[in-house]
Amino acid sequence: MKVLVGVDDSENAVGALDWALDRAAAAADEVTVVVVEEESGGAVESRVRERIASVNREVDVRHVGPTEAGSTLVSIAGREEFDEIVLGGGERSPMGKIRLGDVREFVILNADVTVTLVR
Amino acid sequence: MSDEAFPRPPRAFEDKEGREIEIRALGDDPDERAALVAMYDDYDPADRAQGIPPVGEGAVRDWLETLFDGESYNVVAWHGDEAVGHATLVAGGDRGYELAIFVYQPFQGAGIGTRLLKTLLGHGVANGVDTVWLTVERWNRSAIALYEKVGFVTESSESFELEMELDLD
Repeated sequence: MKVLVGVDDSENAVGALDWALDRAAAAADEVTVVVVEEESGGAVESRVRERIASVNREVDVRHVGPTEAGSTLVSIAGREEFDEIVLGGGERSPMGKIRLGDVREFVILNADVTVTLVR
Repeated sequence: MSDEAFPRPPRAFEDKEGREIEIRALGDDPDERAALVAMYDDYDPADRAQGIPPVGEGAVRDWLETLFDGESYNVVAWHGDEAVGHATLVAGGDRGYELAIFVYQPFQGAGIGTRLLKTLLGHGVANGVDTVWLTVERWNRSAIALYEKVGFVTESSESFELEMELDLD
């Protein structure tokens, strides 16, 4: 299966990557990561590369800015025939309410492939 | 803001079903906290919103501990020793206090929510709270109507959730 993982600096984004990498180890998925942050090569990307290095697997890592994140994830998934998009499950407010945010909502509404939110 | 609009706790009244209800600020009393856990433990999952209240007694306890550990103001509606509603203001973020309100299902539709909400705001005003915000799922029309009734204004409505805000000063 071809899996596209979007990782930003939100709470469980790296957790979503770990989940996808774990499953890839068991199911031989092909994993591509889109790092969502302002500048290429920032803190999120180094966290992502750390995780990937620890699993000894070939993973394509790309970068996109926050404003185009949703549309980029959806168009990559469509154009390159991914089977699934994996994202972190959302952030929690001070009250503990889950908030999806713009990127997750855009992807859920517009992707033609399965979208998995990892909590 | 006048006391009439947002009265302070404690407050007693008869609900639309003729039940005696009292709204009080929640302190450290372990029995009262246990009663609140019991209310949420039996809360209808269909009335959850945005992941709260969590399901299961342990998760409810953890969630309430998090609320009480932070800077928060809580009022509870009581029917005798039974907690039948809870409203809370939790500090966090950069824009004042986040608000949430829950009424136990057998006591919904009896005018308790409106009084609970106004009394929470009165409790907040008395403690110097000036800005209150919340998010609500956009299909939750009855909740949105309640918030609008006490003066909340929609700040953003571009997502699945509305963000609403109320200035108290």
